[in-house]
Amino acid sequence: MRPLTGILTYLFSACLLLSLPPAHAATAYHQAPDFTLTRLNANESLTLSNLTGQWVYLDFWASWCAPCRKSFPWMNHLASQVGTDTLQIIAIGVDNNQKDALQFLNKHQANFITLWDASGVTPSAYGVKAMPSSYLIDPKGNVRLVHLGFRASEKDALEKKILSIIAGKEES
Amino acid sequence: MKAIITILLGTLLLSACTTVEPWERGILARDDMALDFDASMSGLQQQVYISKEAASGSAGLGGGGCGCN
Repeated sequence: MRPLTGILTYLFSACLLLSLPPAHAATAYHQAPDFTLTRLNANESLTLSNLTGQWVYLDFWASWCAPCRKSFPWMNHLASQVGTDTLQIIAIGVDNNQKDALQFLNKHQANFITLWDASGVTPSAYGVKAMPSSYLIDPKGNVRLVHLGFRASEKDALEKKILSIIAGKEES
Repeated sequence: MKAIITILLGTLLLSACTTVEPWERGILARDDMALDFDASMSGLQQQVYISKEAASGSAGLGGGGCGCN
């Protein structure tokens, strides 16, 4: 019985270790991981580090993610409120199939930049814990705010928080 | 020897031991992957079940012990 218990303990602890979250997840006040991704609705790529000097609101979404459908109109609203001079909104679609992502964009208008990453490298680098997840990145390239999920009840508070961090009135 | 072989086999099997990341849940999010994909049908089944069993409140919500349901 003893060796069996040992083996089971070994397997259990190995499973636990494998399921640990990555230690390099993007958190507030850490440098936002850089990426270069292709745009979904234009034939060009975008590199995050090229946007240094600008505030960036980075959102991870997918066509199958129900709350993402609600976050798109809100991000359009945010884009119209602040303008691209103040804040660049970038939404990274993580669908495996580009067709699904494009179909989603046909149904849900996006007045901001949409990128595509089917490899999972970018969401993994940011340590995305929920869909959607969003990150406010300051002009120096540091993450200032991490927001998990999207609920209609939180959108006004989130907008207020983003605007006050950009205005320098509030620390994240 | 047996223990070593078992550990080696177990280590091989660990490749199946992984977490599904939030951005990989596209297939799991499909309607036909839901445990309860037809709410009205399961409601009806529940109704038939509790009337056959004559045990209202036996599944899910129960009374608070007042005996009033």
